[in-house]
Amino acid sequence: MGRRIWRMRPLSAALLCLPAVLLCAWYAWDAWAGFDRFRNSLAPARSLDLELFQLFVHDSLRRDWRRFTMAEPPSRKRLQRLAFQLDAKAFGDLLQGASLKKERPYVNAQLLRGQALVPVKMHLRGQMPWHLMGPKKSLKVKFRKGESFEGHRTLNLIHDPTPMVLGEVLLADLARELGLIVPGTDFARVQLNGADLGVFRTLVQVDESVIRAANRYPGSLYSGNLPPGVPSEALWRDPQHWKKVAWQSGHAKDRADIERFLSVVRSASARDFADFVRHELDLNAFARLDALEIAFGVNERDFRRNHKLYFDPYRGRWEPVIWSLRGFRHEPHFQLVDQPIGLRLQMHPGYLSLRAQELYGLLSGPASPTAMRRRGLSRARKLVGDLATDPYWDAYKLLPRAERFLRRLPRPMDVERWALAFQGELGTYAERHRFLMRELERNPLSAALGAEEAAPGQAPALRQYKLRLRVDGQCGVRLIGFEADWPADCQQVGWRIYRGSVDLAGLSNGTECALQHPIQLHPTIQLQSRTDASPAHGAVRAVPAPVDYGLRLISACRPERLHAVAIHLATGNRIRSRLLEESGGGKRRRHLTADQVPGLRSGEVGPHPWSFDLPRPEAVHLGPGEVEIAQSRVFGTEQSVVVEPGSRLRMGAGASLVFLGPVAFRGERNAPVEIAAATEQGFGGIAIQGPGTAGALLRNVIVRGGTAPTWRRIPFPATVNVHDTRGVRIEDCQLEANERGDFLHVASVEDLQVDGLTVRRSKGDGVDLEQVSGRLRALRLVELDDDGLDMMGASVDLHESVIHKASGNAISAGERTELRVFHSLLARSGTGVLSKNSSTVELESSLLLGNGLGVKLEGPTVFYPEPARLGAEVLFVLDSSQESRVARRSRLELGRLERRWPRPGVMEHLLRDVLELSSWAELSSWLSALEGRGDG
Amino acid sequence: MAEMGYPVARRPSVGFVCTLAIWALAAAFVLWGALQPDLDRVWFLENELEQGIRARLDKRDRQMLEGCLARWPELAGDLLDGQPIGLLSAHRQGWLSVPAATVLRVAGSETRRIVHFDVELSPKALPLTIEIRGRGWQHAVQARQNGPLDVPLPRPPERAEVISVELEAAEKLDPRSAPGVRIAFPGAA
Repeated sequence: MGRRIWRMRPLSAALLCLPAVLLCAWYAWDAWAGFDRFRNSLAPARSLDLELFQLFVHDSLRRDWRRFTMAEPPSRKRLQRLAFQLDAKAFGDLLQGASLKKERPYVNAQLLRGQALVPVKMHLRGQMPWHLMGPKKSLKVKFRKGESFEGHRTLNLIHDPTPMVLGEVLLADLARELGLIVPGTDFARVQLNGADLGVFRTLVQVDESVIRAANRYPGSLYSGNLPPGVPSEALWRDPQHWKKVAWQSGHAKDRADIERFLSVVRSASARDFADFVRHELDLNAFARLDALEIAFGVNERDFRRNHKLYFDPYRGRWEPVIWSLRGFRHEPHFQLVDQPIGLRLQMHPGYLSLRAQELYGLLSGPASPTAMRRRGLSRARKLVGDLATDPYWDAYKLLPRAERFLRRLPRPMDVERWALAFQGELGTYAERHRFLMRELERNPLSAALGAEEAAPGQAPALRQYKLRLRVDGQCGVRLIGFEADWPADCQQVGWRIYRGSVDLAGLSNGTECALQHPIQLHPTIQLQSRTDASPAHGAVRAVPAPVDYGLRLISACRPERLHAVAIHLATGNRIRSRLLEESGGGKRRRHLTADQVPGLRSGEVGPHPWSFDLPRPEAVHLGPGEVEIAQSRVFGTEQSVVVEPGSRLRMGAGASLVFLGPVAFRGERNAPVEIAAATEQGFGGIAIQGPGTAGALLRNVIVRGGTAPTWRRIPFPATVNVHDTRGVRIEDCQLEANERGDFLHVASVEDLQVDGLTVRRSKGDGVDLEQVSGRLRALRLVELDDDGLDMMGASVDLHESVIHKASGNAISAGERTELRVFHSLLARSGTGVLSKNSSTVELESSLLLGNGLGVKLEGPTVFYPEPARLGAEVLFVLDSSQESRVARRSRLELGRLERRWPRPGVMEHLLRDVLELSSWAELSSWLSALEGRGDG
Repeated sequence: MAEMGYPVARRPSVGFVCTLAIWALAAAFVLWGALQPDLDRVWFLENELEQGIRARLDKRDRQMLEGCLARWPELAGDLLDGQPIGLLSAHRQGWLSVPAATVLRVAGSETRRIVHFDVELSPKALPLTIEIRGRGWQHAVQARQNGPLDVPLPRPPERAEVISVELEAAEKLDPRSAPGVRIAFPGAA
């Protein structure tokens, strides 16, 4: 044998060498093909050298060795599994889509869900090489009508090549906790025709489903992105570049809202922009999103792309919607990229301080490095088993930044590299955290005292000194007082601090003076040319610009030392001013005026906050007696309105009352407030709108007639509207016979308290609640052309109420409403109780009488896939044509259904205390009397 | 021997030699491919140094890194964030997180000829011996008390240079905690 091998013939040798040759040829070819594929998509001119070739061979060997030694996927499934099936033709068509840059055709596929196959459509997604090159390709999956993925019809499955893997998901979790609108994103393990493709990041498409999932009312949703080759200013000039992806029912083609938004950003003066912000923008949401992006170095929202805006029709405000949160970057700048909305906001007085507050809260709370590490590790533990067994796990940025080609090259991943990359990103974040905290915690306040002057209008012994306070930094302060050290020989008779002619503190003796009303002092921004200007990043960057505030000190002598004392608006720390030192040769910056339109050019400095002439607080009293309201009146946020007992508001044709600030209708039982039309032509209505109205009171108010108010772009659907506020109380009020629409509409209100409300003869719903929490007691809703109590996204308890003769539903609970009903009567309506769209209704000691249908439960829908529920220990359903109608996959959970009148001793509280009857036999005539005139 | 019927010894056939050679080449190819690429190693070292997992480079890694820096001119700019000289080891604003340091400097760092140390150790740990070693040179200085200390550097070479800094205190420094030494390069931005 040995001799045969020693004397081997060439043919035998060739056969023996074949495996070795084939092995080498295979890996050499694989390396070359991998290099060629990647360079064609990123750098066609790049040539292959020996070092690069060895790298590709190494990766090829490592990939195969990993797959060879890899364990089976974990049996304990911690990730959702998505298994798709396509036939051969569909698969071929799917792959052909890679050659198209846009409008890739959908192909038919099926998703295995339990035992069933759900039809879907899919196409390839993405332009970058990692989305398309290898076996693991990014996909966009669309469900047909009636089907959804957790309430969403379109799902993106993304082959995410970031080495950290978790980055965007962690930031999305944080954003959701901050109350921002963010599309759901997570991880799933995907199979295609039985082949395991490994772990993908799931991301739902931003459409109406995202708005509903965020518990918002479906309104306009726009997506702003520019295609290549179009100048950047086109996005801010031309609304056609904003795709409308969701809308309020009946408003699909209406684009007036985005036209207004862009017009304001582009060409409103600072004053008009401030008005827009005050009334039409959710400033807190924009500040929170900015803070999140600053904290993590996210630079995705720029002059050209990644803008998504939602307009809440009832709040009448714009909110940002998050799309891309690729972060964990650090450069020594506060904000890595600016864009027109952000620049206008930064020039708005107080915005920088609000943003700094949000940022500090993030950095010292849920986004501290320790908290982020904890979050990351928690997510990583759930993911590691699936990632370690993902046959196609790869990532870019696994080579130094020696060349862009290398940096973008996807390479096989493993847990060791992942751990290093993960810690590296957290280290980068820790560095950014330190940088931002240093910037935020800096004392921004300095002070300088001018030369002695005569004090006009003051006693001869007194002198005047100009006091200049400067705020320079990322955040403002709340000025609370001053501390002064006086010369020993000073004959002090007291000292004062003035702003203009206003004495801020009164006469102070001694070394301290406290302002009677603390004032906020804010910095602003200056625009500087960017060194890395580009169409996407723009030409300018915002940097903090100091703002000087001029006050006057009136005293008998010049203090030896004077400090302003303030509260840092971000940290809450008590600070004392430093000595103001001029830099730059004392060159004064020229602020834009409040009436100028910023051009967003280098050199511009934001307006001085004191140039805005904010209105002063004012108390307004209406009544008592007759009050003519000939035309609509709008009471601003600074106006506290009291409507006195016994007032009779006579409303002119179409006239409305809109309250934006504190309001109290202080009717009394014997002296109610009455609101009615002054003429035969109907009036508009009442609107209590915005956070400034928190704590509003309507007590003993009677409204007769009315249609609906109009103000700005808000579509008030009812005669009386309460929107976007909290802590509102309605006590012993009556609403009678309006001319159009619902009678009371409450939207986006926390802690609504109703104790006694009668609504009679409404042309629409009696009471319509949307995204409301609170407690309702003693409602009497009678003769309603639609529903009695209609709820969407509400969390409410209803006590001791009567709903009688609603043409629609006595109670309709939809869109994840949670309702508990106690001791109430629902009578002679189309349907007693409707529960739909994943809502939950619990009934306790309540009676359904004479309704067409007792209870109805509708099945899951696309946006609301969880079952609707209705439960009661004992449910009395009497004299109904049909007791219940329960759709498939909804849950009627009854202890017992009673079809006869309650026995004596049962539901006594409803009978005797709520209805004030002695027996159930009296109920029918009581209800007839209720229709007739007043309360039973 | 041939007369007795025993075979006479012969040279191996061409086939045998070719088979051996081809298999040897194949093995060499696979081994060569299996070797960790230099750039891959640089990525690991960069991360390990930055995160404090590794305090120092051995001679082989130092030479490999210098070789990569010569072949990839952009690499230095990436490692040093555009500066001509800087720390690769874990630090917070110059305060070392590990009891040794790896410094990188490139051509163009002529104006940065001083390494500035700030020493803040407990008295028991003093004196502190600082040994700085570059390509073909080394310095050793001793800090007998806490405070600043400047050490001159020789002219920068034409190629990038990896400089190692070793710290030895009177009391053994805990490898897991910050040693109380800050390094700066005056003149750097």
